[in-house]
Amino acid sequence: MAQAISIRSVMIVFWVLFIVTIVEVAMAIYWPPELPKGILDFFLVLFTLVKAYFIVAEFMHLKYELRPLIIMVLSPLILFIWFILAFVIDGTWWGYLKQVFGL
Amino acid sequence: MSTTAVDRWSSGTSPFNVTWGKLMMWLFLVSDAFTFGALLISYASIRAAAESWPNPEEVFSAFPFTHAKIPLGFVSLMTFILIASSVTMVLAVRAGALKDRKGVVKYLALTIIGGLIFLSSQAWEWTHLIMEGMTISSNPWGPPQFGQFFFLITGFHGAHVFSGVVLNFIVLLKAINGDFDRSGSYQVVENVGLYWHFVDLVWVFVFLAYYLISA
Repeated sequence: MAQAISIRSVMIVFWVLFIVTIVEVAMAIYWPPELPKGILDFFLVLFTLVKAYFIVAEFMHLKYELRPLIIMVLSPLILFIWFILAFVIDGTWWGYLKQVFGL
Repeated sequence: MSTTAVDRWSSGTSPFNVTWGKLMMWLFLVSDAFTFGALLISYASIRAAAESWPNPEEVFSAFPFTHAKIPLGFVSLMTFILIASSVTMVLAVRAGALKDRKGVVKYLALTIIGGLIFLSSQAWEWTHLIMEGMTISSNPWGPPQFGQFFFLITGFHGAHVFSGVVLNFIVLLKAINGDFDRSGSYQVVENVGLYWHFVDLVWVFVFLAYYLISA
């Protein structure tokens, strides 16, 4: 059985998740319309990955497991890079074709 | 470490040094990550192809017991409820590692309550949106795909929360019954804990893709 997590790190992760979520919601609502939305989306994705890191590393304790387990869990996720790129590019292209040919 | 990485693979010991149940839970979670990934990425693809897309701050602005419009207010509250239940789950796993039966029972019960509050909140949100006319085939704010993917993705996530509550409840009953004291291991608490945190993790991404992102 894995070693017990310290109360201190539980509270740190809780406050990180809490504050980052508040910042995300505030940014999404109060983002000035004259600034490009792409910057907002970049930060939202970045903050979400920060939250995901803390949940997986600390709450799910993955950071403290043996390296073979960490590699086994994380390496398949590399496929997501292809997965996201391929489908979002395809969707954008389909949207473009619909406009061009008036479908 | 007493053994090197190579030694771990040369039979006799587990290369991962975890129990069978925990290893299988991790493998299941990896596969489930791809299931949710497929849902969210197909949603992103449809959204990229759509001419217009509803503004989530407009759609998700209702709050129970008030007519005031609070953009993303209720869904933020739901997010905090889920984060709080994740914290109590960590504390239950911690109590299990310390073989503290009372702690496990207390924090698991709190986690189940958190999960049930989340599910009721989702039921309220769904009811409200259906009343507003958003179903899987119609959407007053724009393309019907918005409603289709909303009910598909949050419904699939809600089903995971529900099965997590059921699993937690079974483990809670076993803990009250003293099963883990008899077997001398609270490993099962850690396994359901992994599942519960995964549900929280998925919500973080659903929250990003459905409620926050503006592209």
